[in-house]
Formats: sequence, C-alpha cells, structure tokens
Amino acid sequence: MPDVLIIDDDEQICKFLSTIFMGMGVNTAYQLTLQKGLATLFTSPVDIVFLDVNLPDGNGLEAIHIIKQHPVPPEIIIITGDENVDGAELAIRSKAWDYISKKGSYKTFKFSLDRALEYRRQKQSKLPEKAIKREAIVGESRLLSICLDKVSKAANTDFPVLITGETGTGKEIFSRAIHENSRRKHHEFVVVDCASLPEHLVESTLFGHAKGAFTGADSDKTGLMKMADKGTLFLDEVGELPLEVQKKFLRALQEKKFRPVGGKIEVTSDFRVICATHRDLEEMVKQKRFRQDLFFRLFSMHIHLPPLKDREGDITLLARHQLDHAPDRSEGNDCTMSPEFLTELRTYEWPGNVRELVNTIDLVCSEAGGDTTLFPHHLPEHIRAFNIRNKIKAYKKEQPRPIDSHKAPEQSQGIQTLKDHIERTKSDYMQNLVSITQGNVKDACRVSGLSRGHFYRLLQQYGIKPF
Amino acid sequence: MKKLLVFIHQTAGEKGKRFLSIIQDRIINATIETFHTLEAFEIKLKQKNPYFDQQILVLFVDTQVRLDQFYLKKEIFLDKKIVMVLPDKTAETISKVHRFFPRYFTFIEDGYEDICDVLNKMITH
Repeated sequence: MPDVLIIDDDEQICKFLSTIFMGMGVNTAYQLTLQKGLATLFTSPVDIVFLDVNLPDGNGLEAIHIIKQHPVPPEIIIITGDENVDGAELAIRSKAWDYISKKGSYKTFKFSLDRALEYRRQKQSKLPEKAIKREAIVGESRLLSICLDKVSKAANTDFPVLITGETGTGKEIFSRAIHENSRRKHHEFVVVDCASLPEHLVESTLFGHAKGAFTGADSDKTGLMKMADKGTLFLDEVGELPLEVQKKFLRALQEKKFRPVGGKIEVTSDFRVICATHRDLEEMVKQKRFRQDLFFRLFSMHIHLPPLKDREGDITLLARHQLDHAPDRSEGNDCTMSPEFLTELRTYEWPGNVRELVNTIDLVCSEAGGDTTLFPHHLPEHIRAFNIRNKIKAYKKEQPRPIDSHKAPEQSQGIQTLKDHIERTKSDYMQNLVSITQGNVKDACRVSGLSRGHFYRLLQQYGIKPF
Repeated sequence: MKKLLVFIHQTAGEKGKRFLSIIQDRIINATIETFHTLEAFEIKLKQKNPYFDQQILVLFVDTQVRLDQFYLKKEIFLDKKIVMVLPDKTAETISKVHRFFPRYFTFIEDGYEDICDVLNKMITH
C-alpha cells in the first residue's frame, strides 16, 4: 500500500485530505511543522508528500531540495492557500510533481495523487535488483535480509548512509559491504575513528593542514577526506565529532571542497560518506550536541543493525561458519557442535553481539584441542554461568512451590514467620540448584557462589539428596 | 586493563628503540607487550582470549618491505584495532595502509606526539 505524508500547519486540511486519501486505499500520515515532517520523511520513507508552502518553521518550497536528497525521494505535491506565480514556477523548476491550490475541489487532490502514484509505480518497476557481495556478512534471518536490502540500495547510490546498532553488530563490515558493492570499490575505503581522535587532532586529521599552521606542523599533511577522493570516507562513532568540526564537515560534504587547517587554497575531494554510531543521534540533536543540519544530511539512508539475539537462526549459522573458518581447524580437522552446545549458544544473550560470538567460537576451538565434538563444557564459564542462572530463574517461575516436611503447620494458614520464610526460600533454592545443575557439585558451587563445604552442609540441613 | 601489542622489527634499529621508549614513557593505564619478529607476533595474534576488545595493535612499519610483509598476512589483522607508524608518505604506502582499516596512522618523520595522544584516548575510551 502506498504511503502519503501531508505537511501542513492547518490540522483541518490535514484531516480532510487524510480522509480522502485513506478512502483511496492509501496510508496517510500528517505533520504540522516542517521539522517534524522532515524527520518523519527521513525516518520512514513515503511515496508522495503533500507540502504546504507557509509553515510555522519554514518555507515548503525551500525544503524541496532537502527532500530531493533522500535516496529514494518521494514525489512532492505543493499545496498552498496563497497561489503565487513565482512560487508555482519555483516548485516546478525544483522538480515538484504538482502545485495545487487548497481552494480547489477535493477532486483536484485525488487526481493529482492518482497520477503521481501511477508515475511512481512505473518508475519503481524499472529499478533493477542487484545481488550484493556479502562475504563477511553471515546469516539468513529476516532482520538481516532487511539490512542487506538496504545495503544493496545504498550501494547503488552516492548518498550519505548512517549505520546504527549496538557494539559488535558489524557496523564497519556493513559499511565495507556498501563500498565493495558500489561504483567506488576500486578506490579507497578510509576509516576515521572519531572516538579515538583527541579533539585537537580531529580537524587536521580530517582536513589536513599546511606547513606552519600550528606549532608542530612541520610539513603539509594530507587529510583523510582528500585520501578518500573517489572512494568512501567511513566516520566511525560520528557522534563523537566535536561541534565546531561538524559545521566545517557539513560544508565539505555539501560542496566537496574544503580548506586544510592553515591552508590558503581549497582542496576538492569527491568522497562518499558512511557514518556509524551506537549513540542516539536524534537525542543528541535535541540536546544540541549534534548539529541538526548535519543529522538530516547523514540520515539520508539509515540502516539499523539488529542485536544478534534478535536475529533468529543466525547464531547457529554464524557459529558454523566461524567453526569452518577458525584458524585452528583449517587443516581438515572436522569439528561438530552437539545439540546441547547449540542450545547454550542460542540461550546466551550475546551483549557483545557477532564480535563476541565469533571470538567465543575461536576461543572454544583453540581450547577444544583435538576434540571433534563441542559440548557445553567447552564454552567459557561466564556464558555457562549466565545460562544456568537464567534457567534457574525460569524454572523457579514455572514450578509450584513444594511443600516441605520441615515447615511449620501454621504456614498454610496465613503469613509465616520471617525465619520460616527464609528457611523455605533457602530450601527451594537448593532444590532448584541441584535440579538445574543435575547434581554437578562444581557447577552448583560456581553458580551459587557457595563453597563446597557450605553446599554440602545445606544439602544435609534440608534433607536433599542430590545424586 | 587495555593491552598494547607493539610490533617493532628487530632490524628497525635506533628509530624503533626511540619509538618504543616514547611509547613506554607516554602511555599510561595500559600494559605493553612488544614483539620483534613477525612470527612471534602472528602466534600472539592467533592466541584467543575472552578479552577480545582489550587489545590495540601498534605497528611500527620501518620500511616498505615491512608493509608488504604485513600486507601478505593481512587476514590476521582483520577486525583488530590497529594504529600504524609508516615509513613514508608515498601514494603506494598510503594506498596499502587503508587496506588495514587503521584507527589512526602517522609517519616516522612526523614524530610521535600525536600517536601517543591517540593511544591514550583509545585506552581510556
């Protein structure tokens, strides 16, 4: 179903048009300010935008060029209550689809929308689908496929891309995939790690500097932006870019030229920018720690990488892939994963995401030595401990509380004494611990934090026979 | 605690010694382990440890030949945090260095103030 966005400060008009368009089977949303409208547009792409000219926070006609920067720009239909020949001409010259008066009949809106949708359908049917090279990206989950589709789209354009996601989700690998599948693949992929650069080095590292620009500038230095000429500039942790540099960077991004620190001559560079961050840039914009204009520019295409725990099925595929490629297993030394081992992998939450899983498999391989089947005991202790804790919690939730022989009869009649309550809880805990760890004393002690002696004393105290 | 794995080839001579001495003086809150042969360095990088995010590789590339040697082994550097000191500013060197996706790089002739600042920031980040 096509999507329409109306940006108009007159809510009555918005509601009126929404009703008409929904009746045509079109998803319709509206925003009452230009800023909110643009934010919606760049967050969830739409097919058609109905854009008012006079908005409380800006002029719709001037926003056309911003909307046109979207990687898959919508068709724009300008609506105005104050027709003006110059405005109409400007709209059409800016490649708006249509310019219509709010005073006109609702049929005018329907007709214009109908024609714009028809044009859009024809245009989209011509877009070629392109398979991408994705050697380093393993997985078949639905969430990953959505990201790969976006990689493909991004590779076919030159627009800035913003990649977000938790640490270890593969932001840099996805950036490289975009570069490797783009027309720029034969040129450099230049990394700028904004989080690693001290503030006083950011500007000269990005833009370069001229000899004598500051103390210690003994020779000219070429900046990374120039090195990325015809290639891709990857700004990792872009949220760390100092505010003063953001302004200069935005200009360089728009004009593809900049002046090195202390330099007299402007340098040109035709680079494509991809940024990554684990921060919430929208929130940073609100807090005025990140420039809004730069945010909109970078947000042209957005790829959010899901955490590994949400990528159903991919944990097994990634583990298998890494096992096949682990350095210690490269000499025909086949190794299989037991079902219990895979269950442990799938149960763990992987806070370090793909990077943690890959490293864990490498670690397991190196620890496994000549073992040909991997079992849970091959996994690092912190993973097993985490899983066992979760299992105990889940088990405790599911199980009805057992009635133990040592309990006082008055317990069943109402509230028990604190001492009894503690004793009962301890007894339940010990029974669950023994059950979950299947009587393995070492595991039980590690999970519970009890010493071996204390563990045995408690078993005796509550009359629990573990084995 | 973060760990710097510093590679300075045994034939790097005075340049290498000076670099190591500056690193040892200026870097705080990190342990430093040095390697003088590529073989020893490769063995270290292939050793797995659960603290995979704690290592920063510092490669002192004293010659173009050394850069080529690293290039032949580039798979062992994949997805590692790398900082490099390069022998020269030729287009060939610059082109090769980007294949390692380094977090930062500088040149022997430019001195080591900046690289120490970068390393200290990486350590505290």
